[in-house]
Amino acid sequence: MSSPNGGAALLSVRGLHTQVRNQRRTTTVVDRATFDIGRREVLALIGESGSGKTMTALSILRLVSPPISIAGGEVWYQGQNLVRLPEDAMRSLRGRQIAMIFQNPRDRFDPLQTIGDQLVEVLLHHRVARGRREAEDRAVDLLAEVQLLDGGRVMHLYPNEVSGGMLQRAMIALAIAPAPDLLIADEPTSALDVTIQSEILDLLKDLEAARSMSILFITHDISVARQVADTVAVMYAGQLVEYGAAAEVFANPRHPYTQALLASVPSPDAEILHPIPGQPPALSNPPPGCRFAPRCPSAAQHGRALEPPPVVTVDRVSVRCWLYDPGGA
Amino acid sequence: MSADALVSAHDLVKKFPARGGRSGEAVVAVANVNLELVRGETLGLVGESGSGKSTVGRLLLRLLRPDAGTITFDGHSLERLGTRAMRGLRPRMQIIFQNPYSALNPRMTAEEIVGFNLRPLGLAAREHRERVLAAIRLVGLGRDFLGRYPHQLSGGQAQRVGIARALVSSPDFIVADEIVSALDVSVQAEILALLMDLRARLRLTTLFISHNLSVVRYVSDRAAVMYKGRIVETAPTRLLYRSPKHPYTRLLIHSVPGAQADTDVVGRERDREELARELKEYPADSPLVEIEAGHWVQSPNGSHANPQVSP
Repeated sequence: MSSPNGGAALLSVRGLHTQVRNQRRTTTVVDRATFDIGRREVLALIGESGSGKTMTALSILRLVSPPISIAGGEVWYQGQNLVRLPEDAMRSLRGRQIAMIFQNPRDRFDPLQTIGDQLVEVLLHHRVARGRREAEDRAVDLLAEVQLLDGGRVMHLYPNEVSGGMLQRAMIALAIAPAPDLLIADEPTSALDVTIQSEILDLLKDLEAARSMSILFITHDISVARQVADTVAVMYAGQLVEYGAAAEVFANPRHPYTQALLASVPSPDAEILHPIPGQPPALSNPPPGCRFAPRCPSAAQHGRALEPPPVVTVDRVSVRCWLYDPGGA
Repeated sequence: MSADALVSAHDLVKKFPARGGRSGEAVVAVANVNLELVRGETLGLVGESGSGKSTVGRLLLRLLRPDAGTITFDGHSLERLGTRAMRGLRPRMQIIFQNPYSALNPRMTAEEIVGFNLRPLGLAAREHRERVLAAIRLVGLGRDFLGRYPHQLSGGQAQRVGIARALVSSPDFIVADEIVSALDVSVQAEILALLMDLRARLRLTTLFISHNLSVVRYVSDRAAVMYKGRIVETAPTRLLYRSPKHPYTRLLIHSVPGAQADTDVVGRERDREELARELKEYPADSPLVEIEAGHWVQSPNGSHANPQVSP
């Protein structure tokens, strides 16, 4: 197995299926997602709110709990299927081998402890350092690595005493402390000002290279994905609709949804924006066939919108669309 | 001051008491801001969070009172106007907010929300109903939306109701405060297209506040960049994006994701550090000078430069 960029896969997701179940009905929020994250690769998972991006990430880490559950599929990492791994093994893997950072770091830090104490706790918990003294030294090194150069001072500050950008850097330091293979970053820059956003994006790219780390980067912002991604996966209504090398997908989007999404975003060179008509379907009651069909300009062209479209691979890009069906249209 | 100005502000200052500071300490949110909106134009106001953008918007509408400076709306000096006279002007100046769900009363239907802004006019029931329906139609919704509550609307529909509420009283001047920032990208485009269509049809004068440079570039005739409470540069939008002068403007444009796709990470980091250093050394309180037609930038020579009144 390999990523669309040709590299070996670090993590392989196969047919991942996540549901929300209540008394009345079962809603599929991640519908048989299949993709790989290559080594030293940034995979951007793009989609609008409610498309299933975060649910995919939480399912990989098995951080879902009732009424949400993983109903099927496999997540392969180092020869183990994480979906079936015993909970204690999973617990020691979370944070240590697969770490996660979030949109708002202020919600993730304990406001009553200094940033230093929280870093030290993580380093001791993951046994990256022996003893408080060594942990403090390592913490200052980590802060320097995320370009908080006066780490000695930052160590003694409380989360409310630093800016959002500094706190996001501190959260990244916390996440990379145990040297994970994979960092899941869920909208890590969406709450930040553009100048800080650009710094954090480049920091993540630096860390990817310096630490040979892979990153699953979740974002609704295509311009952000364009800046960081090696590979992209586009989600729509719980399904992956397009998946391939970033350069290829951005230069030559194949799925009508990807095309529409790119045309709807103001970019430095966009003259006219084209809104996508309509709204995403309710996941509790998706259209029977192609989920994008009600909004798709090409649905009439192939006339098979009521049947679930096949996933077709064209030039190493997978597309879930009838337009590319070799047997039809 | 241009004869055609609908709104103009001169040397606006607004201070807020510092949170957690000793009493008497103040944060200067807006420092000596001068700006002017010509009838029918859209002025984009960009800057980072905390730069004072929203405060300027609220000052222009007299939702906040300035500590110093003057604001003129269609010949009226807002700071001197009594409450009653101000109330008479309110229908002509309206605001649209960032998050439609928090800006719309969850216990009111769309009809009540939009109609609320008409109540001061004391219209007859029938005319009131007709104008609400006309406003709902204006934003591309139909009669069937009148009875819906905000939670029954999608983000885009809710923002349309917010726009209908602002437009129902036939205003001349609209402050659009981050109106697409809480929306998904595909919905953003739809709301931006609607705003641009409406302002052309209704000849609206718009202050478009946003942290998103690409969005501002897309909708604005002119743009003004705020940094730490001051306008540091203003120019016709195309000119500002083509030849930004102030280091903060250049840093902002440099930071637009994807804008530096041809430069590698190391190059981008080096450029950014260089701009940050320039910004640090740039005089923070120097006056704006006009360097080419309509393009004003804070003077790099400090406050002893020839003071000129900005547009």
